Amino acid sequence: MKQTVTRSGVGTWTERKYDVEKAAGTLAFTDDLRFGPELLHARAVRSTVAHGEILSIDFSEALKVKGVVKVVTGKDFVHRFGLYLQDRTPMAIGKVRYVGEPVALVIAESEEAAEEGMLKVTAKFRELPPIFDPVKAATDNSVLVHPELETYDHVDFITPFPGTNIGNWFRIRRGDVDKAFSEAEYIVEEAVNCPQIAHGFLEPHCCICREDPATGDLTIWSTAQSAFALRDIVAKGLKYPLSKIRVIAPPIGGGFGGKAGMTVEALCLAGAMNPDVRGRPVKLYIPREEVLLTSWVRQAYVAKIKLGIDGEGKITAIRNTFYFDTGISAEYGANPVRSAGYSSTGCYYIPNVWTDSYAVYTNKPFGGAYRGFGLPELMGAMEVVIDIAARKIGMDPIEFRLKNILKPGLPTCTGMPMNNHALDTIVGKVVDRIRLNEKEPASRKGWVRGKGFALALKAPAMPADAASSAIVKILGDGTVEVLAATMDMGQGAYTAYSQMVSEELGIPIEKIRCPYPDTQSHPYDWQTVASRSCWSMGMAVKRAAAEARQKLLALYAEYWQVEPESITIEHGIVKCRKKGKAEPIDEHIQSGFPMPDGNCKGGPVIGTGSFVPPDVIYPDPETGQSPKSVVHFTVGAVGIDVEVDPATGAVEVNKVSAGYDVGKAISPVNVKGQIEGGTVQGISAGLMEGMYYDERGRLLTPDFTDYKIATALDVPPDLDAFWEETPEELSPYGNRGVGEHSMISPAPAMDNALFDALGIRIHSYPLNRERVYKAIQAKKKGETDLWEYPYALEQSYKNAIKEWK
Amino acid sequence: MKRDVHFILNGRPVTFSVEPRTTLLRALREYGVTSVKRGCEEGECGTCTVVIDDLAQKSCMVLALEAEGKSVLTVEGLVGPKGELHPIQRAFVDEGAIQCGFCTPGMIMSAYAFLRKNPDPTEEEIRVALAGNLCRCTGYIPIFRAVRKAAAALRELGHTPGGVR
Amino acid sequence: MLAFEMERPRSLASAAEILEKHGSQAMVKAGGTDVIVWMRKHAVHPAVLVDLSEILELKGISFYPHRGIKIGALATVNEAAENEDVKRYYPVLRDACLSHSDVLIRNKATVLGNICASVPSGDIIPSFAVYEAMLHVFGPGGERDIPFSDFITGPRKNCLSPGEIVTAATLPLPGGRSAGCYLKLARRNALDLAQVGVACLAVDGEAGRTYRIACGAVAPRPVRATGAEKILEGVTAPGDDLLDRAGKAAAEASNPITDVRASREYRISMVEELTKRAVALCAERLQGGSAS
Repeated sequence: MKQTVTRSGVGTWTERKYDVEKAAGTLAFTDDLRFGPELLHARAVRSTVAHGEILSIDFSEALKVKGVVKVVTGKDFVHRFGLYLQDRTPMAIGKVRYVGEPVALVIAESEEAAEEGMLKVTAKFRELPPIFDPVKAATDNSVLVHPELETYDHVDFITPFPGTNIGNWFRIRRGDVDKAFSEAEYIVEEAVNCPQIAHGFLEPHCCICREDPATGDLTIWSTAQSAFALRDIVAKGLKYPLSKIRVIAPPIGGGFGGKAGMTVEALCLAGAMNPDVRGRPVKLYIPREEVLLTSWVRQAYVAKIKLGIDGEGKITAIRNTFYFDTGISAEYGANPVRSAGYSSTGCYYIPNVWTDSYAVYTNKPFGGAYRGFGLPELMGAMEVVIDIAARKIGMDPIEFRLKNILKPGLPTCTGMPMNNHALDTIVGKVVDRIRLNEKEPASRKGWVRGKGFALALKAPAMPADAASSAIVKILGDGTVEVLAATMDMGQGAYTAYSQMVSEELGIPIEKIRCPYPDTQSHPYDWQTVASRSCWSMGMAVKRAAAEARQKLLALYAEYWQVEPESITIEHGIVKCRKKGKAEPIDEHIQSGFPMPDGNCKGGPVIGTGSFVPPDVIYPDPETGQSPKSVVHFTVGAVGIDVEVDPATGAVEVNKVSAGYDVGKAISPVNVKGQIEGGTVQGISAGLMEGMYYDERGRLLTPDFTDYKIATALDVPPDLDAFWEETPEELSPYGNRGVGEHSMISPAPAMDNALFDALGIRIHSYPLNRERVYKAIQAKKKGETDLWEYPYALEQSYKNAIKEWK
Repeated sequence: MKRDVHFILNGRPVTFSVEPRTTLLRALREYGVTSVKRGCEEGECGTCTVVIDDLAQKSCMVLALEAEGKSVLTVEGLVGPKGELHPIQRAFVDEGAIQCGFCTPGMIMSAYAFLRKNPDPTEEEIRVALAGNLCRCTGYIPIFRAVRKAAAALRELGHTPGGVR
Repeated sequence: MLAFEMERPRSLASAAEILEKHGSQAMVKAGGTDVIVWMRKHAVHPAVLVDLSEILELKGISFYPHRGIKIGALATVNEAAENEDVKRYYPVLRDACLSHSDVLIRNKATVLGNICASVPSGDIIPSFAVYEAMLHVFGPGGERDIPFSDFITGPRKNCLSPGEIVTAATLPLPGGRSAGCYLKLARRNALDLAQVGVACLAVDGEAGRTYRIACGAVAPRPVRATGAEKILEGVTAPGDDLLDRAGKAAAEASNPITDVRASREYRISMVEELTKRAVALCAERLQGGSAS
């Protein structure tokens, strides 16, 4: 019998936690924190060459600037950091590897003085030949970005190859692809590429660090998605015990993966831990135009996919080759490579699989976590190739997909059986809602119309032992505090947890609070990434709340001399109908109950919960096989209806329909928000986003003047966001993650829609106006494909895919 | 060389001591009005939007000294004396138009200035009015709903263009 | 940004004096939306910023039926866009203003600031070209007028001498029934610099139909597509053939660069396309009576 009653439990539409503070402007982000006049400000001096030896760094003029306190260089802070592979130092040491790499840090009494000092530092370099093309870098070892690769520590499941530019190589070897290809009725071999893109969060990175001069303890306030991961990485890098580092994570203004792991904190510590500075807090605020030069971007990729298809339209074999351009660091970028790799049959059942997924070093800003984590890259290619294949064999693209769909129980490319899902239903709804099979005329005069479709899937991409824990405290006035170190960066985690606690404790949501993470008070959680939090931390929160409930019921049972099973908690009131009892939770829950036997029993009621996925096994390093490589998959689909102006290449979206199987929507307002927001982000990326460089490796799109993202006028007028609920077995309430998924497939759906509208296949993202215009012109000349790769001398598509084997 | 600038901030007279190079954005934040955010400091993101004498402006492009004698309004000034949210703020909360919250104060101030001039806007007019405020989290759709809802609420309260809120 | 001194003179004479005193160390600010961002990015570093925003005589927009519209140096882009006389008589200017940045920046940026910044992609520049604006200048040598066609000499360069300030611009009435538009192509639908901008003004004057076509963002200086104008002269309902020829002529007159925003080839193609559309739109409006 359910013993709790609430109006704000799992599945209800509620007002979200902290929304009022955000609207009132009182919620303090990291840049809003106030320190006294002892606060110092840091600004980075950056490399102007893409690859070179540092000959000298002259900061004598900078020290003369009034207010400048200290200038620190790489040699003053020799520590290597990294989440999965320790290949990163906060400042360059001896060598610079990309234009914009920090080479020095100016620390001053004011931001203005730090800026003035930064402009007065002169660094001289002896240039070395750079490598920018990831395909070339992967196969040509004449320029090595990390000649010392073998000296870097790394986790077991990442395999770098010293002597090359390969930071990680993930393999799937399943079945016999060569045999299957030789027997196939149809062979389809296609390639797709995409440049690096940026997260585009509106709040730049900001970090304040302070070292206690007496104890050496470090306090870090930072725009971090994952307080504990940050602490771990810093501890490993400095060889400090965890207890010496405290991380306080204020609310962040958007993350999308760009604030995962450790971003700018080590750079700030280089200043704060300097013997001439320590004791004073140092603030490092990264101006917008330096964000992409200081921290993660989404890796660029070149993907080649070969399919073998039988006479009935069943895909019998797939060979994937993915080159992920991870820039100068694979410390995080190594993992999207894996994530794409172990999902490399997409939403399909394919018995014979050969995948090579590479993280390749180049002399560019570095890749890391980005919403979708390898899946937008994989699906950006796969869903286009699937579309091409369907048309080649003369089958309707939806029918082709459904024919090959990864039904529950069938093995994925790692051999793991697929979980239950309602992908068929979702496909049907999307097809229906954009009227995919109806050829409709364009509404804009002179324009052409097309519709496209793409499937999406993703599993939480995390180590097998990514753990969560939570504490639930019931206070003496019946309110509850939930300590869960997830970063609520707008996805609404604290609202979801409050609903869970409300469900488990029968206490109204207004009485439940979730403070922002502080490693000093919160229990451990791995990271707020991977769409794992509602599921993993949800398990911990549910367990903690349930434990608190058990304790509460046992105490009241003894207090009232009834069976615990006869007690309910309804809207914060503890009731026993049998005995006519109804009392609000009060200070007894904190200070103990005076029991009938005369003793005071109880004390503060606290519930704790821990969770770690029980049965994930790392894929075999040679074959990529594992009976349970991930915890579960969330699947979905996107349909897009677009119109194109053939005279300019402008693309306008009429309608999008996007649906995902979330298992259970804990917080419907959050799920809707994630699907709407991610879909727009995916459309924005697909239509207009890309990072570009000049021939010397200088980023031409560092700020919002030239890195364009969707504005209010670029949003489709009609966005249908929906979800299905096929419960996940191991889950707090049947829920699965959905935070990333809506970002994954709008781009390939768009590419497919453009093919439908224009009759020419574009193999390069983004599908911006100029490129679409070029494609239209190419079609007029009889071309069937458009391929643009910034590093290829040969732009002809047919030659390009033959170029590199 | 610092100079004094006197203006009305959220209904109260203030005097700031600022350098000529100090933008209104930085001066307000220094004073503690941290709802005004710095997202790019180049006029591209809108997180620094405030209302100066009834005009919504990007405060990163206003020098603090230019505020002399003017009236500056931020979201802190929209909250009532008993903590009541302004109908626009309330609509944003009710419609799920807020995720990370970083664009929210600027978005609300843009909407505020807009609705005072255009109390019964079309969907297209709302989009154009907010085109200078970026949002990466929500995809804008719930924000449009919130502005429509706020417009209706304000009309019901007897809001008139250019009149007292 | 780096430190500077700021002067806020209350009269033109005072402003000119300050500018003369500091020479190349001084820069002028009206709305400041360009200069403040440039300073923040360390692209310019004046020791003295001369803020014109307190000079009353620079404010305002006045319409003189026999002379045309006079736009003061401090008139903001939104003020111009919302001005009744601009709406009625200068549709190209109105289009240009509404395409500039976004509604927030337009509350601060000035029409003449866009002109004086002289950036090739400046949205208001082509409209000044087709209206054949006259710039009124105050400086150490007194007052003078500069025809707009002489004003911009290169990217971010104009023919102002040290110490000179543009105080206002007069846009004469077109001299007959007219229709006009400014079409802008950018990477997205809002808040972006023009990849290509084409302004067109069609006038039914005493000598018959004439067209004025100006292209922005496609050359170091604003382009008056006189070749295209000649092709169209006298034609009130240009057919597709003529529009094609005019478009090609305009494209030939342009000399764009390739940069991260667009390639040269795309810009050339788009000049052609936007010219065709702009001319057709103007001709249609004069036909249909929605003209001034």
